[in-house]
Amino acid sequence: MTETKLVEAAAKGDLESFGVLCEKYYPALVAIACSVLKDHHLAQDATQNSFAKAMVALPGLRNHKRFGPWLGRICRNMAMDMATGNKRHIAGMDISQIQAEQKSDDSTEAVTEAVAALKPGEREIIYLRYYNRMSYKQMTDILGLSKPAINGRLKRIKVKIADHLKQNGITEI
Amino acid sequence: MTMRREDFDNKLDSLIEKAIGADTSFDFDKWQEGHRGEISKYKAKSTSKSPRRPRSMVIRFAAAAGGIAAMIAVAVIMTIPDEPTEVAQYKPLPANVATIGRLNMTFRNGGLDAIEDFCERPVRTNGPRPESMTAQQLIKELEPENGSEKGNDYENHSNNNAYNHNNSA
Repeated sequence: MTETKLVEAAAKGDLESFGVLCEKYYPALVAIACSVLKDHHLAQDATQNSFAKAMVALPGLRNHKRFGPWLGRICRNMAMDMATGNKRHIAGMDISQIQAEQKSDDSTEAVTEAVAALKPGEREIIYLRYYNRMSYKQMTDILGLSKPAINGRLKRIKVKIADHLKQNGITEI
Repeated sequence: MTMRREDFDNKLDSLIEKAIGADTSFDFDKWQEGHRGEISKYKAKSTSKSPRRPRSMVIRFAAAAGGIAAMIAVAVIMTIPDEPTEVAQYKPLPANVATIGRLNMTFRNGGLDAIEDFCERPVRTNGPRPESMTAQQLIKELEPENGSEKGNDYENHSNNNAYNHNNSA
């Protein structure tokens, strides 16, 4: 069944179709939420809340072909709301600290810092690509951008990360 | 050189993945258990949602009429020439021109008195007539008398009035 048909069925109240869509988009949404919240568990919560919000609003969705970007927007807003509500929590343990808890070698730490220094939109693309190793097709579905546009942005962001590493004296990786 | 760049890219990819990568799995059944309220709302909303109402005929007709009126207005505006339209010039009648000329001449010759006399002349000529006349009187009036053309000058008029008064008495 194509995605548009799944969305149509879900909009008519078919819970099973909605479940299929949730499973498809879950990794992408967690990546988006994590790029904002910088915490895996909070990102999962944000994603699950986004599904609940999207499910209630789905019968009112007009363009079923834009389901992915629509869902991504809901999740982004949910994560931003949660970030505002959890400022203390996130301020207490920023992204570099969170990642450093698990991975402590120098170059990984430097990459984590570089990712944390990116702009929100750039960080989102990096998370979508590397959080779950998503394909360009999956990224296209959730961002509503073309493949060349995503590829161009990804290249520029990687150059930024590489520059950050060089500035921190990491020339060999 | 190209190989080194590709190597660098691959290493950077794996490093970023190592830095931020995580495994995610989603259990929809478990999620349903935690969101029963939303699910019941969703089901109620999706079953009660009525199909979009078609526009009423009145609205359609009004829209069509508005469109046609706009097209007509545009067509009219497009057909108006840029040059100003000619306004018909006032052409006075020859009789009026003659009267004005005569008044002008009269004023020059005799001033306001002459103008007054000029204006009274038609009154004297066509002035008040007796209400009833006999055929004999009418013929007499039309006959030229003492050099006057019609015999209905001011004096005659006074005589006629006197005649009328006598008759009525």
